[in-house]
Amino acid sequence: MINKNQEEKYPKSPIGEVIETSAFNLTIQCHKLYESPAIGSLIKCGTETIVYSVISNIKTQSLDTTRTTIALAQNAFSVEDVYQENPQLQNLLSTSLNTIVVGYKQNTHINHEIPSIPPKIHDLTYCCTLEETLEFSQTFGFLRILRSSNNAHIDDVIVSFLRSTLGNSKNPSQLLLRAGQELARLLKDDTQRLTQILERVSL
Amino acid sequence: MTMNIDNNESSLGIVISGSLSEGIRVRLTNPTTVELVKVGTFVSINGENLKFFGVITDISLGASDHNIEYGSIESSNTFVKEVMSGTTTFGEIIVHPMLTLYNTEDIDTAFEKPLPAKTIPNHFAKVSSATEQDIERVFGSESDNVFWVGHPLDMESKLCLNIKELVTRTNGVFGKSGTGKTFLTRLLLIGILQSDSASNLIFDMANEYGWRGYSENINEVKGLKQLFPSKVAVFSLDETNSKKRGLTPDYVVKFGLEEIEYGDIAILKDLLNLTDLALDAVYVLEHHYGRKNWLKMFLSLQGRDSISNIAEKLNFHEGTLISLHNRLSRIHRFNFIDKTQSHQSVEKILEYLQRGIHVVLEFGRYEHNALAYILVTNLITRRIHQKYVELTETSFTKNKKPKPIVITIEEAHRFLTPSIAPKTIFGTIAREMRKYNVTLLIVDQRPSSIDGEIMSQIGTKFACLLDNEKDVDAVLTGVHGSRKLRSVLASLDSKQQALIFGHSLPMPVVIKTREYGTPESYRSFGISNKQDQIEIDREELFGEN
Amino acid sequence: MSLNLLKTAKQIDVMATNISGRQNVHLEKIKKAINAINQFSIENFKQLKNEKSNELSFVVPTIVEHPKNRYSTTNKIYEYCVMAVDGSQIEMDRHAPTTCFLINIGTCTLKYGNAAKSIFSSTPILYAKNDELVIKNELNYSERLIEGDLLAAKRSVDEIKFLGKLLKKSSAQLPRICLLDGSLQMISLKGYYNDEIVLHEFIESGMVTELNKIKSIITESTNTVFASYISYPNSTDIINALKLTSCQSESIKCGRFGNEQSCSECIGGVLDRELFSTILSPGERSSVFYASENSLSEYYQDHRIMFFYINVNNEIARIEIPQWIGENSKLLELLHSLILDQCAKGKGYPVSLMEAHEQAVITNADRKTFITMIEKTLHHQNIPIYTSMKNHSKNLRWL
Repeated sequence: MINKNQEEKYPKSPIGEVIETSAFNLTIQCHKLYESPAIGSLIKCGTETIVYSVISNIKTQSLDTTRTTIALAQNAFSVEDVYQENPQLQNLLSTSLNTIVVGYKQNTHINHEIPSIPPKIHDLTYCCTLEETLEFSQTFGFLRILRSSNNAHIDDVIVSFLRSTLGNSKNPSQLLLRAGQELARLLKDDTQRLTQILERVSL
Repeated sequence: MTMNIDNNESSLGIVISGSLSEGIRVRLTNPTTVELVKVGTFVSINGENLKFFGVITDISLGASDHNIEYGSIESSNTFVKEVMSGTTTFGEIIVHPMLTLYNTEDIDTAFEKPLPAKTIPNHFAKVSSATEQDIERVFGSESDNVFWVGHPLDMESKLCLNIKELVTRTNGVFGKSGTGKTFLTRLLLIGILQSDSASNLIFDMANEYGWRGYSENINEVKGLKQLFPSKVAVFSLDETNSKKRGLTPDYVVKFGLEEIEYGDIAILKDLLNLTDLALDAVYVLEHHYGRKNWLKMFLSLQGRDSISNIAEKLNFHEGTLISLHNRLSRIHRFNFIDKTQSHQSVEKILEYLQRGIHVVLEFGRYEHNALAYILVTNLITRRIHQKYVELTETSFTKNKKPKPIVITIEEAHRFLTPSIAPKTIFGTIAREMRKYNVTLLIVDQRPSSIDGEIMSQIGTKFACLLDNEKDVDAVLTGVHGSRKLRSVLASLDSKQQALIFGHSLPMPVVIKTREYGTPESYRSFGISNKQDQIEIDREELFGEN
Repeated sequence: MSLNLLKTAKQIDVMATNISGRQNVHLEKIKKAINAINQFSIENFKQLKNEKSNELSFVVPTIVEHPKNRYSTTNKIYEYCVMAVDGSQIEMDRHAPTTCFLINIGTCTLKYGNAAKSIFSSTPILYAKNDELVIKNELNYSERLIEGDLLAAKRSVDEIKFLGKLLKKSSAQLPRICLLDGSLQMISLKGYYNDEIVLHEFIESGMVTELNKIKSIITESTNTVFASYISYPNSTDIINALKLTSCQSESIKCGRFGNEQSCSECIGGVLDRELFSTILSPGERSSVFYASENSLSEYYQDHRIMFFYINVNNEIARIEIPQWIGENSKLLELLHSLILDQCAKGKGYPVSLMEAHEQAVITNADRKTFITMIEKTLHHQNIPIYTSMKNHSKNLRWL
């Protein structure tokens, strides 16, 4: 969800950087533990070609895959206590995002397709402002890319995107209707799935 | 996304499949229009090179996912419905292409007449409701020979008929009672009258055309005589009755017995319940006594003995003649039959018609007497036709054709049942078309009873709502694409709507019949006499009573 | 075929039966050790030490307080800063294309309290220059390659160097604790007791220099402590002292696994931690002892090493400290509570040391990558790579 605070916070400073890159999916490590935009948010990275992607998952885990995290909160009053008692967690844990590439911008022109060259590792990543998101969502061709991604929970990602991002625009009903119609075209033979998405979007 | 709002207002959808025989399937782009689209609506399809005109013949609902049809998708969520309508679920219409035009802005070709559709548009061709220009282009615009009969379904534009073209053939107005046949007929008569392309002879069985008629809600409407007093003459079979209704007839029609011939009796066979043998007897009697005197002589026979005598003489069974005598006596009792002298009624009618005066024959008290109606109608028509055959044949030499006549008959099936149609004058007229400048305007509620051959001769059919399957079949027999028109015909409103198709129209069209009966409607005929003006003024002052 | 596991398994079986037999004997010995400490008297010990120290085959610590004394602390400190350093190394490989070694120092700074935060670092130091790789004796031009024990000593020096730097940078506002892993006594140099150059290099100009720096910082503040943490220690300082007082034999020669001339009261083989685990309750520490003098002790100058045992989570750890900490009861108290807190947070081992270790650790994969990197770099600079045939055969396992 892009709220005012985040809007002020994210565009100015990067939320993280690309640590795994491909044409279809990116992994972004957040610079600060737990400080990531919500699932379904649109983020961007790259300088000449700006690549847009939608957050499909947020993971916080041990940086060292051989070290497992263990329960620490037995005697703590709150999770904040645990982090205060164990400041090393800030360095040992990291929050990373999986994103699905949905388009790119070249010379002010936005394309809803996979960029021909993926972003670089360590490319700084920014959260898109509401304005940028709406600019990107003038048409909904990118929903095709989202839908065809092999993510089992892609429907939830789509719902989050539509509900939180478009839902916060000035004229949500018009945008949501158009987005819904695009989805309906994409899911013309799976109305069950379509209905489930739409019902949740309209809540 | 650029969207021209003006263009899109009338846009209905795009072509997705179809065939010339089955019609073209059009997916509605705006889902909300399904309930607004009506069968019978006139639409245009913008093909690549051709512009097609057609009629909506069917409307259906479609879905891209079968689960919807199985009912396994259920959502009361309005947003879901809103999104799905037009995408997952959509409306479809079937358009039957009727005409084509070159799709051009070029002035030269823009005025070309549309041709019957022999092909269909491409995929994704845009379909829109027909515009006023489309209607004018296809049906012509209002002018001397072209008469505005109504509006295409749900449109403001005027739909016009070429009256000159219309009267060259026998035409029919069909519809079950109460569907506005009479109103439509009245309009057609006015059209003929105003275009001056023919003279009307109206056998006004129910006294509705001459002076005044009644609309469904018992509002009085003006008859032809009131609207066009100088152009219309009312003849009456029953002067007293006419006067009671506030009309002094121009002429009181009477017939002498000698004017009745075998053919006039033959057509009454069913009504008089005559046997074939009895008809034979009429034929023999006519020979025996002579054409002019047979009925007079036969009916003057008094007593059983005299009939037995003649029966014996003519080699008939006594009982046959007795019952024939008995039945023919009914004719004898009609007031308009003069037993003593002959009359010149038919000549009078002809004279008026030749002068271009339209004649309404009122039946007065005989308004529901089928016997009187058929007898008189047949009698007059036969003789007028006879005269016209003569006139037309001499006109070749004189180079002056007689003025065409349109004879309006109601309850036409009584004259045109398969059993008698070949023998009666009406069958003859219908078949020979305008050869002798006499055509019929058939008004009927049971077209299925009319001889199929006659039906197929009918140039233009005006079909109001018919609910009997057989009647629908009868009206549509021999019409191209009749299967599509069926659904259109069946879905007409029960009032003021008609499907028109046939000779004088480039394509079938559903109309909302032109308004008739209000002061404005009278004015629209270009009439504004003093009387009307007073009424209008009164209405404007006090509002409608 | 590599290790023949079948044959190995049989030998393990035999070993297990040996162990169980030995176990009972060992338990007996521990009981005797407890007995010995109960009868221990400092006066007696001092006297015996003076008498016999020259004939002993082992060294004994200096005991100024009864070893059975126990200390607990109720002092709980919530706001403090801990700095820990650990290191690891890649040994010089004679088969490698070039001669070099690498020490990787991991540090961990944890700040507890309101502005809790953590800073980790991992600093690799590659030693490849000729004078970095050897210890030169200017007198006889002999050289000692820094490898094995010398490398371990070199690492210890680097570790304490880093710890000193961390301490210097840190703010003195909060209580501070500096932790090293392992012993402060550079026991790896024991074998070089007569190599003056080596001992000078590593102890005097290495360890002691750094200890001086740390000492100067600590003495300036009142709430900074420094210690080295030895988990699961195998030391026997106190047992040695008990042997001195309790052995019935003329010449006390009982080793870890006993010997044939063992006396009836022999406690040889018992470890300090085994003894203290019966004495100390969780959270308690023993009294502080001066580490046993050895040949290296004199090089430590005024940084005489002291130690105590502490029960953390039912495990005995040994804490080594310089005397300027061990002789300051206030600092001892602080150290005691901070060590306990660190171990509580680290589930029995100081969390800071654990993280420092994680930063320092060099995995096998890293080691391989390190070699590959060297080869690649040399190759890029057109330096011919010579490697031994043995190494070559290891890389290329042909049939």
